[in-house]
Amino acid sequence: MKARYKNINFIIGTVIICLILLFLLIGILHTPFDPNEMNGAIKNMAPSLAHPFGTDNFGRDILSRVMVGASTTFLVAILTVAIGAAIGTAVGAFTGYYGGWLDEVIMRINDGVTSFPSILLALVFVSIIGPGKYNVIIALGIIFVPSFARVIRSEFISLKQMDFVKNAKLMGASDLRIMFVHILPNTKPILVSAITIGFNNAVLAEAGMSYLQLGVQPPDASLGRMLSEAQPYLMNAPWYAMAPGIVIILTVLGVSLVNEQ
Amino acid sequence: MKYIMKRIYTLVITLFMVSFLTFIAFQVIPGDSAVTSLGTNATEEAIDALREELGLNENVLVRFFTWIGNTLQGDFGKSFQYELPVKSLVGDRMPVTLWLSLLSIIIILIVSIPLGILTAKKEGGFIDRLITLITNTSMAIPPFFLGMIITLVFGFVLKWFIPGRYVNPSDNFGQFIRFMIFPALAIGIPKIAMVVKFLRSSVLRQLKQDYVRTARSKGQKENTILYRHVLKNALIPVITFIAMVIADIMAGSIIIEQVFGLPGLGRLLVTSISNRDYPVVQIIILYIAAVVVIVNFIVDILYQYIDPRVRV
Amino acid sequence: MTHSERKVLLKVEHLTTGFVNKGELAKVVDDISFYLEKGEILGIVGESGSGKTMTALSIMGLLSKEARILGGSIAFEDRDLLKLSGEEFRKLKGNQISMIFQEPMTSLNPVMTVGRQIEEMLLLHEKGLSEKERKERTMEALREAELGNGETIYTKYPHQLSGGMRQRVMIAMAMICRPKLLIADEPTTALDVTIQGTILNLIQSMNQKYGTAVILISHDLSVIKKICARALVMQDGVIVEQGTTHELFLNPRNDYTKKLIAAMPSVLLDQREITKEVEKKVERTDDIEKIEAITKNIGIDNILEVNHLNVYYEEVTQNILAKRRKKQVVYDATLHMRRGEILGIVGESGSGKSTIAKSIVGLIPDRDGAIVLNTVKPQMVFQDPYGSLNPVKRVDWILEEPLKLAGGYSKKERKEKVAKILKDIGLQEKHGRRFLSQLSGGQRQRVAIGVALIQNSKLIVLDEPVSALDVTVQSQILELLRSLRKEYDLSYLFISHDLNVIYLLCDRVCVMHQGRIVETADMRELFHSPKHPYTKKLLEAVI
Repeated sequence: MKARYKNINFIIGTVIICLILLFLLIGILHTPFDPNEMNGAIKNMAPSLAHPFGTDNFGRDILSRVMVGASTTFLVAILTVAIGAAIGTAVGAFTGYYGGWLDEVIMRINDGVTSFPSILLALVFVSIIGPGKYNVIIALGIIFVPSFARVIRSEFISLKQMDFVKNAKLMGASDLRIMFVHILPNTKPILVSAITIGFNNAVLAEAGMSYLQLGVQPPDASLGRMLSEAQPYLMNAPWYAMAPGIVIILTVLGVSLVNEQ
Repeated sequence: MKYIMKRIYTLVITLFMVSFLTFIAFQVIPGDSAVTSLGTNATEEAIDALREELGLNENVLVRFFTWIGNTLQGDFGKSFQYELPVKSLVGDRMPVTLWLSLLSIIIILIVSIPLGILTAKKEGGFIDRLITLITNTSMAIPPFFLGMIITLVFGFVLKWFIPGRYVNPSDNFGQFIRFMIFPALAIGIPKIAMVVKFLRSSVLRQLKQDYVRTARSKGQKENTILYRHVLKNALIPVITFIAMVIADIMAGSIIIEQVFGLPGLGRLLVTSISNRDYPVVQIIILYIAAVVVIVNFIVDILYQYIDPRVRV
Repeated sequence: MTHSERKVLLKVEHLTTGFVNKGELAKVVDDISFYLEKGEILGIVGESGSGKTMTALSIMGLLSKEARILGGSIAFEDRDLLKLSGEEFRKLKGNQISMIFQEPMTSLNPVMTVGRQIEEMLLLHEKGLSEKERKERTMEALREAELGNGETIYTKYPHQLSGGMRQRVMIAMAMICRPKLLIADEPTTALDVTIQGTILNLIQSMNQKYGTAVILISHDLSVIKKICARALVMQDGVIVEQGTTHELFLNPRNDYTKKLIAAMPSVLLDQREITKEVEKKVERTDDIEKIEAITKNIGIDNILEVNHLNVYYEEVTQNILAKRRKKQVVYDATLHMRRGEILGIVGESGSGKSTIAKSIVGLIPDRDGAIVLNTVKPQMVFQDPYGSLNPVKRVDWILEEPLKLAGGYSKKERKEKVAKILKDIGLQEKHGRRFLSQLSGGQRQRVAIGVALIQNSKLIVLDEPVSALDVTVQSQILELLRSLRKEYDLSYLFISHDLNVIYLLCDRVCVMHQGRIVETADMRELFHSPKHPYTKKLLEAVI
């Protein structure tokens, strides 16, 4: 009963993710309208056959803009997680495996950093290096390092005490080989889960930053940016906010449903 | 007691480190705050004079200690943008953020703890599945989008509050709270979902422990087992989690104040970042950081009282 | 007292318990019937998965949600427990029937003082008591369980007590309402050998004092033999044999029972008549011959010499700046091993026996004293084959890895060598393609031995290699070790807490206690005339 129920979640999650990916892919290849083409005649139009998601205050097609915006958001999220996971895994592996004072120092810093909300840290970064797509990627990427490092480190600490690591040492395996050939594959389930959670956090963080207009800057469209542009028209053109909002929700929901498996 | 003294000692050091990092972070910014303040058209002399006035010609460490000394004495410096003392800017906005956070925490606690226990109790049943579905979905909603939906539904459609309006707490406290409820909900709902989920799995994990079987073998009632044995064990990890949530609430209020047009610290922070008004940014970041550090400190102390296994 | 005068307390008839999974039925207890008289101690013995714990949980009404009783009846006095309402059954639990479990640590609530946990029993079943009376009763129960004057233990939390003390607390709690039946599920398994005996004595004295009938469940025949009047032997969910303990040992009819008895060294050593009888019946003379044949092949040179070895551990401290303190775990250990010999090291947990093993293979750098090895890198086989082999790799990868690291083999040579070793350790080629999770515990331990073997080392250190395995699998692994020793000219340093196993395999034994080697002797000599008091204590615990 329980297994089946979980399974249903997984299937729903997978379907949602596939639909979102399909939507993205189509958006990359072809959008129904030029996402930046303004048309004064069709400002703030409700959804119709020609414009399924309606048009915005400049008469731009919202569907096309959501397609482009989603791909920006995904790009930011994926690159952010890639930076965080790559550096975080390396840091976690070395500190966890070797321990010692350097580990203590790095982990104290890590603990300090992870206890702060990531959006706040991202704001600090952006206020220092300025807004923009790539700055947001760098800022969020660096901010995500500690959480990955922490997870991988604790895995390494428990795994390095396992007898198979002692066995590998007795065989004469080098430290690097033990770390990356023997131990690392054992962290795969945790790492995958951390990556999916990280992806969701990155999507939400990017949306938040762009919503505050401190993230992706025009002319780049992003889902968060669109929501911030839509807010003044919330009463007259609620569909403007709904489209990007729903895409974010579906993405995050789909990924978390699959991750629970 | 000795442990508490030790923790206070680390607390002070951490706060010092945090303020140092906050200070240093804003020293590496490209561009000169004197130039930023006066604009690029200012004369060399004017810039030099301001640099002198701001103490920018001094060594970084000297400047840090001057800054921290002034901050401790309540002198937070002057805002570039508003030409006002930072203290009065922050002081005006602090209560809004404070009340918003407090309301959110209260909402989160009173809703999520009973719900978490309920879902664990009814594991696999209809109520559990329904609540789990709702929590899963609400965790996927960006808080500011939730704020927009709340504005749309309760503000524009149901007209329970007027979006964009703000009542000063000193004018009418009741009205103030009424307006704050909705932003507090926008912050709280996703967090409620997180706490429910965490508490649910914590209770379920505890229910599988051997001591529960022992309690059953004594002839104890299921409900009593849940409240007398399981709950305390299950809540221990939740406390740390809630500390994390409190830190998140501080961050959430930065964005939610923007959505509801509330004149709080978050909005001040965002405009100050956009305008590169660093004295203000520094103080707000330091304030939030201090709250996070102090909340963690309190949680550590709380642990000492609740979990006998870590008691020293 | 004659049989008819005694009254039956518990009568289990045709009990069938199992799991229903996706419409499929997996029976764990299959149509078993037995009875228990008032005041009697009945043993249930069997290996893991034999259904003995499920039987206990069925009687106690403590089955997990997934498990269910599929048929039969359990009559306690004159009531069928299976037909009682939840409320009626609840009033019996703790009051008339109580239970103690294998893990006394996890079986107690970690955040409640033990005093309050015991008092909970009184709150439930003796409602008229005042707070003062409850406390007094609890103190008395603690005293009775030989926990000092009770006062100091009363306010303690479980983590502040030792394993033995926790089990005493469990017993005090289970006995405080003077139940008619106490079910003890592996009550001594998690404890050290020397403590096991005292816990059994406590259970026995409770039985004599209050006439509480006891069902004692254990995988260990010597535990059953010590205090049970009658015993059941369970295998795969059925009772294969039952009778008085005396009868069972004297005249085992079932093959499985014979096998279990054969695994007890005390049977061989005990000079009393009963065991002599058994010795004739249980065919183990061939084992002895084998051992003696190999003993003759022991060489004259030493493959290993350890002189005045001291080993230290660094204590973990919270403060980075604090100076780390060293804790000594092995004191002045001296031993030698001849080529071809099997040297056993026996001791309880924390005695330092594993530490010596790890120092010899070079896993612990913080030591002084001399370790002289007359062989290339000694290999080690660990206790838990789940942990000692990489769980995400296939068996052939695991076996090939040491060859890759050693270098000098072509891919083809490596494959051939892996295939040969697989055969030598008694596995088939198809096992090579499998992950560890697809192998049984015994097969996994075979792979672990294979990994040690493939590196051409002549000295293999085995750290509790069969402790995680069932008795029958144990003897297969021991058999494998014997035959490999002959084929590959191996020497084993064999670490175990279990004197039975040591007896079956080793030529000589070192006894360790609190970091020191207290006695080294030829195996037979050790068993027949132990010199050190601690050795005597250890032997008493198993015989």
